[in-house]
Amino acid sequence: MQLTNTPTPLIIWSILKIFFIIGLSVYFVFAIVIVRQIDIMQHTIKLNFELPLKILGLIHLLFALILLLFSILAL
Amino acid sequence: MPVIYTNPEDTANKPKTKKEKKSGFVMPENVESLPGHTHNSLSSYCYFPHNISFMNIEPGEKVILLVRRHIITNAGWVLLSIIMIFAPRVLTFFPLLDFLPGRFQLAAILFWYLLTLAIVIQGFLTWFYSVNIITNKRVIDIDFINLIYRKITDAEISHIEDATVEMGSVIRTIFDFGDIVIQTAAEIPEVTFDAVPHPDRIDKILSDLRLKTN
Repeated sequence: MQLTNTPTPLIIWSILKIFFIIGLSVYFVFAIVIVRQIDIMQHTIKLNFELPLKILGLIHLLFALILLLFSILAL
Repeated sequence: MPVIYTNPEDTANKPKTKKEKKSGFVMPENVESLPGHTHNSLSSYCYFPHNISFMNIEPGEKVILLVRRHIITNAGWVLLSIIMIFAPRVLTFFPLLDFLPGRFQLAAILFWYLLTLAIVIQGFLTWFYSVNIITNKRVIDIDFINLIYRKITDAEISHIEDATVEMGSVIRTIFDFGDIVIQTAAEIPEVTFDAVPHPDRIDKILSDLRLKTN
């Protein structure tokens, strides 16, 4: 009997998937914190570079969201 | 000898506008030609910057100088990011993730790039928002320690007792940057400008402002 035919690998991948989802959920919160922090700093000090930073933060947030959805739906 | 700071009393500039008369501070006429003046938002040293403002700016308060850490201080996180961008290439020679199914491999690599992006954002924001501002009334030190912690310190020019310039390494001497430790008589005894470019120029600006205030 081959190892891959046993249910053990499936359990391992399921556990790994859960770890991925937990890790990416924490990361998604972190990405929201980045966007919020950029927003707060832009209220604290205006340095004429607001738009590129906001876009950078939002791209990061979007990237984190896509990866979180990917790990939920495709893994 | 380049003009480092134009003391209004030394020039023929007299308050012209109502605002200038009220604040007692006169903007130099030839701001554009002053050394260190730039319109670049990413500059480490900006003398009389344009359109810069901050929270709690007082009426009549003018930003004379905005400095942040020298750009060379970003070398660490920039190099780390470059290494991290190219690190997955190693997998083509050493198939470390081959024991994982294809979709897990893809997720792991995407997660790696997400971490790389986070390091870039953290490094850039820490550098960009850790600024030191000198106005005609006070010095302000904004420290963006990390993404969840920041510290803002300010001291009035009249409370400054002493400013010390510290330059202590080969790199700092070559690229002309160093620390300025400002001792104050205020509640916060010390304001530090870390790794700022042209510390001697900044010290001169502070000295002139202190002379004018006292």
